[in-house]
Amino acid sequence: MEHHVSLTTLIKASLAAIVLAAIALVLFILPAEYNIDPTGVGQKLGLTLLAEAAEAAPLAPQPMPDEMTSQQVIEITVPAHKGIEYKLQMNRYDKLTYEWITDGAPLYFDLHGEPEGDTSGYFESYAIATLGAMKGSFTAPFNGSHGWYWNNPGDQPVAIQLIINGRYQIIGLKP
Amino acid sequence: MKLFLRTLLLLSLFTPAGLALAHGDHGTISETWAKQVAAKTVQQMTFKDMGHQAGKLDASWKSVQPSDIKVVTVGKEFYVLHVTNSETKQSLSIKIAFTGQVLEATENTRN
Repeated sequence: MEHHVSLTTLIKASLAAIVLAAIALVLFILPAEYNIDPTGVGQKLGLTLLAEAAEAAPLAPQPMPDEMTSQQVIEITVPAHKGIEYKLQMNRYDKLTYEWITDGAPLYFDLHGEPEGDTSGYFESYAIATLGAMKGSFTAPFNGSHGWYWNNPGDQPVAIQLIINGRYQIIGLKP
Repeated sequence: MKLFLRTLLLLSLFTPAGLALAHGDHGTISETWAKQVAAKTVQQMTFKDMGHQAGKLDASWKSVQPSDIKVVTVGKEFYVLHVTNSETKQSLSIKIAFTGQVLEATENTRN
């Protein structure tokens, strides 16, 4: 089935698209991205807040250390059919980079933090998965203990090597 | 005219996508950061065979210090670092891409 569109229709459609794009640019995109709001619609819709927030809190560049920073290497073993928890004491906004690998089998883990002084049992999980290795970083959202729960569902013990770098105090294995 | 409009349409469809994908790359790590990666890699290689030519390293490599790690080559898109085991006098060459990925770790033969 052939479908012919006349040249006039094409031109009209193109012009209509350009007009719509220009309206969207002025009403929504300029206020949200650049805080340019000639019509005032962006402010009424709250779009200018997005641009203001971006201007007020530019992303801090990741500092690259001039010298090698010391890394701590920890080796622990998760017994078969058991779970263990390894924690660090960190203050709010302390940053930690970490990398851990197992000697073989993947383990279920929950990287989480527990607020200092909290007795409700609340904890906040930053990552949950079943992996044989993981690398990452996080900034502590509150004062408290932060670290990993690893669970080994297998029949053999699994060794973990954890390499950490940052601001923390080791609590170690929690019973 | 139709050809012109079709070309315009195609350009409008593909150009923004190309620009959006253009910044998806990592930057280049510094020599200091490459040393940091090498130090971590050596520790991991003492724990298990990470699949590199040098295989699993013995426990003496755990005491490698920052001063034992030197950048010996800066290639087009990689660094080559030498790590010396001050206890055994053995050395490793570790090739690290500018993205931070460890490409090779080979044991240097002693002369």
